[in-house]
Amino acid sequence: MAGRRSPAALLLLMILSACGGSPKLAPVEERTTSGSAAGDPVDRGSAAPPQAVARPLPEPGTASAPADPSATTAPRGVQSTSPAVVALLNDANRASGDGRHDQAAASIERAIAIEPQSAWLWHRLAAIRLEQGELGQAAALAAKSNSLAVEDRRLQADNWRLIAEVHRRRGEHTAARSAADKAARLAPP
Amino acid sequence: MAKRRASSGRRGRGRTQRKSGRSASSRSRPARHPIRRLAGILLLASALAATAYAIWVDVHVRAQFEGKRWQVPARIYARALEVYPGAPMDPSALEAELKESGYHSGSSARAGGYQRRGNTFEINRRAFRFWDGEDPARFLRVDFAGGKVARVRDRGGNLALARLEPALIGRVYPGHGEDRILVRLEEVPPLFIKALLSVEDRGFYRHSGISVRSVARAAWANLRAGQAVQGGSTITQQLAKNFFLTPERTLTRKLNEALYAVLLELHYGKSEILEAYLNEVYLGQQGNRAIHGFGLAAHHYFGRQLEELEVHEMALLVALVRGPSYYNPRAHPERARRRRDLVIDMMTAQEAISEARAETAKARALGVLARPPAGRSPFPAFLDLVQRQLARDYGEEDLRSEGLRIFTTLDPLLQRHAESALAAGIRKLEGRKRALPAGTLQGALVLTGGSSAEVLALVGGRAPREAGFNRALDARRPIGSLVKPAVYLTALEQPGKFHLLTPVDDTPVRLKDRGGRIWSPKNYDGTSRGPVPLYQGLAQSYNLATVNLGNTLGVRRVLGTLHKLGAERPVAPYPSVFLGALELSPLEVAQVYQTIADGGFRTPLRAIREVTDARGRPLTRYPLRVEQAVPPGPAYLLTHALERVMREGTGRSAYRMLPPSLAVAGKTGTTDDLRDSWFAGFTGGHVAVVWLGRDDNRPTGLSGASGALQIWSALIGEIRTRGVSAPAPENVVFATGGACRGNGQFPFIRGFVPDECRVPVADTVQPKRAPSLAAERH
Repeated sequence: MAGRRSPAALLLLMILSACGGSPKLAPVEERTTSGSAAGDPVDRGSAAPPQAVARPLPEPGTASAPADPSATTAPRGVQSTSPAVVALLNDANRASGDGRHDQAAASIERAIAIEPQSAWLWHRLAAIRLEQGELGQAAALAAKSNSLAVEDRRLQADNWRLIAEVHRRRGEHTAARSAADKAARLAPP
Repeated sequence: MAKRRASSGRRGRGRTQRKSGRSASSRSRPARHPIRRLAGILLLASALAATAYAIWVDVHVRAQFEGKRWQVPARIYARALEVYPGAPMDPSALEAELKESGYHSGSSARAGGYQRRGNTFEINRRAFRFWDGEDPARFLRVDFAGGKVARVRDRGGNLALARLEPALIGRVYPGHGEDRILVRLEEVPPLFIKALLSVEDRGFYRHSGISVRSVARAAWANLRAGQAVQGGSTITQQLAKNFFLTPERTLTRKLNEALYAVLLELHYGKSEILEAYLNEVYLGQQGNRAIHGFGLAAHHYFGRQLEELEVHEMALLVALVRGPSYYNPRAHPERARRRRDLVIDMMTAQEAISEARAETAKARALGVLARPPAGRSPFPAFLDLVQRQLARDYGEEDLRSEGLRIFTTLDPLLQRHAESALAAGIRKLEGRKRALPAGTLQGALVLTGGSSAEVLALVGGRAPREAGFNRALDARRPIGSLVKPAVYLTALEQPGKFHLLTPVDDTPVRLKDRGGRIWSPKNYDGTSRGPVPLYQGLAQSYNLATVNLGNTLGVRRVLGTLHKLGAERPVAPYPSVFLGALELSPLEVAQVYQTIADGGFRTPLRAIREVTDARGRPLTRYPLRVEQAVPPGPAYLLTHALERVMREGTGRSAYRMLPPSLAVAGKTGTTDDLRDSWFAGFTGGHVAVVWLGRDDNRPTGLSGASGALQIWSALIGEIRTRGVSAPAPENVVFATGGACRGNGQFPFIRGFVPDECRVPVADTVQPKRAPSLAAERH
């Protein structure tokens, strides 16, 4: 390209500068579809063991082996017989491990679309939001998980520990303690 | 990047040029003779004018090429169908989905094709850039058994799940209506490039914008052929013409074209110019929509991507360059075919393909789709919603020109079901009601998905292909009895005072309403029943019971509940609100019922999941968010009452169309003089709201039950859904006995079971699921 020259063009080049700009678009971000802030779904009432949230989930007994040979092994604690859900959870765990929380949340949302009544999936989403520091969402999602986890005391306890952690991070120590007590009553750690 | 570096180099050269310019003018200074001086001035003036012109041209060339090279409409996609073992789906649904995505039936040999043999599909799924990355092309095999997906495989073995390519449901066009699908040079098959250059510009890689040889060669070729088969314009000149100039044939324009072409070659590399040409060239017209570039042309004529084309199809696209309307294969198939075969011959002459391959290609039919894929969205009402949501976060110009990719929540098959349920229902009702002049009954329908609150289908009127008044979003009408759940929920949130069997007075009442008027509401049938159990007030939609209850609770409190459920519009606090004297759109109603369906957890309705830029880089994600709006116990009790609406109350005619085993919940709504007919209800997986009425707001003769409910039931009966089956919250117990006997079991908040209902079924042990109401009645 440099080999060919047009005198007229060369004459103008002095004035012309590279000022072409590519359109600027916002970086990735998540937006709420409504302006409302998440309400606090949590009982008011006391400090929790902060490590409770991060610890791996206890094996809830019914964790199923994937029915399908192509599915990789289920993450610990997964209560799903659907290889699709197991695969999505694996994706989510990988993404979480790399710090790609939005991606992890998106995979969990896909899994929720397949098994909307799975309290465990809602709990996972709550845990991801907590890692992202979205405290309001973490607590609301844990409450949602609890509303579906009526028979799973261990999972309920995990949700209460997560809620306790939310309170602790907000400096609401009484509420954190009360949530942690609930967790301890449901399933001693 | 490369472009930036190149331009700084040019700036350097420019500086040298300026120096020599100055020395030239200093040399002319000694001339004193007036004529020579005049000539000098004239020369200088014309040099300046020429320079100014050249500068203008150059700025124009570069601005066009580098700035916004093309305005690419935003593309809006339906949700991608997830196919996985156990997915509840019929083979016919998968086939319909593939058709919506523009897949060709009959053969899976090429990408974008599929073959169905009974319950087995072989799908050659195209590569697709999803929000979370590129999913490469895949050969999928899907087996069905027993109304479910039994197995999903690709060549490597069984898959846990696979996403299909989502259907393209709309675009946001730039003002001038140009549309294109950008292709990158490396995506274009080399054979296609050869075909194009064989015909349009054999010397492309050698010339510097204009080519005397190619003019001569073209003239010779045309002379030999006895017709204009070749043009002398290089690809670069053609690009210059398309980019910058008007189509008239004058010498000035020819010269300009050459100047532009030379400037283009000066600034840009061959591959940049070729890529620009591939995307710019005009190849057809569809109404207001101009088909630009080979990427879109492949779609427009064959429903294919450029890389999927076979020789005969490539040749036809190349043939069209010379005259898209003259050689339009849909209008002039014979003419197009002759030109196509000529292109194939030229490809052979240039040794792009073998003689044998050429013969095979020439034997093929044109293979053009009889009708081009729709340029306008088939789902304008849903698109309207998407655009309104996008408008909050994106500028109009970005949407029209930046080629954004928008991934929505629309389920095209549910959308089709919703459209036909509404249209068929309206026709049927009009036939039955003499009072309704044909064509005057209108309606709207919103279908959302449980738990994730996604808008799955949205119908804005009885003629869903017509864009226009979008009743689902913009028809704000009095909601009538649809408001009643907010009244009863407000009561149930006070378990110390109210439970489902608390007696409520269904007796006449006089209240002061708006403007101090005395308001004395009546029941639908004109009678009053005295004390009735609270749940019956809702199930039978008794106005007097509801107003008396509401009056005890207070208007503001009831409005507060409605607001918590998701109706954010401010409402004036008058008692007539208890009977729905407030206006909401069907979409707003759907938000309220979505919250009830989700057990009191409010999730803002979503129509968009993700937005990426043209290259697939994620820009925005609209995540699933929840908020606990009302406590789970009262929400559970309310849902129980809404199930009783359907089993024994005003909604019971739904079970003429629904299987008794399907637990559904909902509420009818009717307004004064039968102007509006509403139904809002839900299953365990879906929420649907139907509104019927007239645009002139005259009476329809339809109640909620005789109108909207019929359409709601027809839709719910047709789609795959599951019954209401939320687990009872931990503080809810079921009880029966005494006054409760005969009515089956009722849920109560633990500790608030009334004496007459003692003999608790399970006061300590949680029932897994609510005892089925269906079991008692059938």
